[in-house]
Amino acid sequence: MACVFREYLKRGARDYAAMLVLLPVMLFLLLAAPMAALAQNGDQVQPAAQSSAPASSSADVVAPATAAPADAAALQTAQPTAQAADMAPVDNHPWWFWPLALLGFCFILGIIAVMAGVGGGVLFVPLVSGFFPFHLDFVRGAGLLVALAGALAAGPGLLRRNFANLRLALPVALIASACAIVGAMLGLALPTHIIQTCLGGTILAIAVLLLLSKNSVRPVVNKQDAISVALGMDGVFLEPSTGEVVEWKTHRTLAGLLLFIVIGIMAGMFGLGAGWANVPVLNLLMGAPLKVSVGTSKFLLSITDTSAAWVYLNQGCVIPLMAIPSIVGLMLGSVVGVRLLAVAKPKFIRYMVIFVLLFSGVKALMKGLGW
Amino acid sequence: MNTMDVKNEIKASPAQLRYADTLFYGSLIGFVTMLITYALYVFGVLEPQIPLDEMPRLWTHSAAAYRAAGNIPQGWGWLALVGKGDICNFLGIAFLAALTIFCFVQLAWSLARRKQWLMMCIAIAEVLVLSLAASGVLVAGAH
Repeated sequence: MACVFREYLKRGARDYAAMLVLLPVMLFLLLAAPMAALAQNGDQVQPAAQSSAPASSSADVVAPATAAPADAAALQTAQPTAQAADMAPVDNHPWWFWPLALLGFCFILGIIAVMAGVGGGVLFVPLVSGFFPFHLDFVRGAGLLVALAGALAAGPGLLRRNFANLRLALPVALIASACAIVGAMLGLALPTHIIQTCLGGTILAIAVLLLLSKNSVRPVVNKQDAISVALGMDGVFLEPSTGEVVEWKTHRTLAGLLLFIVIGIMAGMFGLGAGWANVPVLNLLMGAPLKVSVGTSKFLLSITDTSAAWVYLNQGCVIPLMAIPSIVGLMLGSVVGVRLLAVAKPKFIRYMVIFVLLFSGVKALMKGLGW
Repeated sequence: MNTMDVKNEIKASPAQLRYADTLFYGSLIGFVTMLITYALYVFGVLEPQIPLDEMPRLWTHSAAAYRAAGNIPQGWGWLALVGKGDICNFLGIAFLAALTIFCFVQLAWSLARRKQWLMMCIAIAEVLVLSLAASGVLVAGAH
């Protein structure tokens, strides 16, 4: 934090408005853990089975909101829910509390995500599933929509500037989106505690990946392989900062395409935007320049996440009351984050995000293992 | 690559530009629809399928339990309830999710006109994959 304020002093504190926003972001990152504890205490969480009227509590939870369940299948589904409801916490907050909290939380998340150079989804799913009362099904559904909305908003600009390359994106997107469907179906079929445990492990791995990976601005590709030539995975872009024309081509295409099978499955299974994995594969493995990798990765999310989002949408895993404030908050936060990039120290923010990811990964792992 | 080729390559291809335009205007329509329907929902203009006060008790449970308790249909069944405040939000969300399919149909057509057959086949395959996901045919087992 000291580094950030020193940077302000160096620049003559020319942007007080930016500082006003940056300060709560720093505080939020430092106080993430106490905030989580407070949120849980504020819930007045108590198992329904231990409350004074357990039967009515659990009945309330599963009572059809409008009419009796329409068919036998719905009734069958409702029965196991009654058992689950006995163990579920009772939330005494009014309906608007959590959507409003989510809006503010995602606004800050959007600022942090932009400054740390990660997508919103990778922070959204572990943090919201850890600190908010929503079931993991809805968090993953909203996480995919958040990542999708960010990708749709950024896509047109990236395509127009040729930073997102269609020839590079198309084959990769086909594999990733098909596998994201498989991942989404797997994720919805497996028990929640297994998904939560795997999510924790994945988030920890992402934190380590962010910590260790070094991007290469312009990887050296001596020889384009046959698949890359056949698919036309090469191009040219204008580097705006230097006015230089950069020609690029890819190699190790088969290995890259195979890795996108794994990326797609993970994106669908956990509802994470897969930018954290797309960029290293495109840049370090396949040899695309960093700008093309980042641009194409962001554009790719609009395709990969769409296929998984449809599976979640069709299964009723999207609750608009929580998904829409998340999207709006994260997009507004991203706009502010882009402005703050000029005055903040991204490296410092990056390390804090890695710390938050490690923390939320451990939390998800413990939740999944029932510790 | 000669100088002329490089100059042409720096610019995004016409097919890519058309894709970008469709994505831009489509996203705009989707986001605006989403915000309007959300306002109609939370300000109580349209009566919701699940009363707002019930939501904190339902969103802590799995999607299967939520669907059963709220009579929320699977797949495209929500279209029959589109007059309800919470369900009408799916208009904007589904439009945003379907946008990539529209873009790829348009892209496949552009690629066919430029005789880029391999890329066109990939674009058509992508349309099929996304349409399959959107169809609601793929149903995962509830846990």
